[in-house]
Amino acid sequence: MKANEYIAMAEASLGKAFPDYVVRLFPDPDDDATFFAYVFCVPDGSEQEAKHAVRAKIRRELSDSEWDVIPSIKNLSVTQEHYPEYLRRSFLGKSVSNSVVLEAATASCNVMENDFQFTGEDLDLMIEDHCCCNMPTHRESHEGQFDIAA
Amino acid sequence: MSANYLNKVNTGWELSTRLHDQKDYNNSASRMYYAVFQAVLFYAIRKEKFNRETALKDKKNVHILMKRVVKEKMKDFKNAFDAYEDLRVLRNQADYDPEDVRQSDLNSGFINSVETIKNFFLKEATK
Repeated sequence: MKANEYIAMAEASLGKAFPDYVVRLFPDPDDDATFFAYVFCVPDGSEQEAKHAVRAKIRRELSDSEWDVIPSIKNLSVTQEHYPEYLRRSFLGKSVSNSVVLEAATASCNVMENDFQFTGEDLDLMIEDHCCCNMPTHRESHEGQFDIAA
Repeated sequence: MSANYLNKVNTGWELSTRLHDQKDYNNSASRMYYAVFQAVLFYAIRKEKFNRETALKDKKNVHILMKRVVKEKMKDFKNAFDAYEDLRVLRNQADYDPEDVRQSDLNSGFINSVETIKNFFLKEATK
């Protein structure tokens, strides 16, 4: 199994086991055989409990490979302050609902009436502007995360 | 050469303790990890004929080799391996993540567990 396949498999497995958290694997910058499983959105005060549960799951189901996975818990306060791109939608100010989409579509139609042409991409941007939604993006490494050279 | 490793471990640990007292928890965690790492390395060199050149030639990562030594040798010590993993997380957080290591991360219970690992390998290495 290639490293990226293992990452996808491990993230899917941990994501399924812990649907309330957002889990992403990042390689240890000093050890290419180890991944840190960053577990975001853990409620403040539940860090130890979450760490033990994630660690148990990792040792039960992910330890039989050439890579090691170590849980790194990021509680909700830390996620909000330092990793907002990994917040779940339910923690954001406004979620994507039918009314938000309708609001954006109506706004778009109103502008179109003024003879402007809009693409689907424009509409997506408008919806995004209205709902303040950040989809999690995958970060390959800490270097990528902070835009610093490896 | 071995005496130098022993000095490095002790100096690193003392520095980590001083940094902790000064409330510099990021650098304390980083120094603490390397003090323990060097204690394990000291043991591996003395007792398991660990050779850095061979490891490099075989493309074996030193950090993961030392982690396996801890896992194997400390299997009778409850939670020791967990503490070693937690220390790696704190070292990673201190050196690479945006948020700080907090005082609660480096509480006395955790430090005692980590010190047990360090002392175990120093004792085994000098037997």
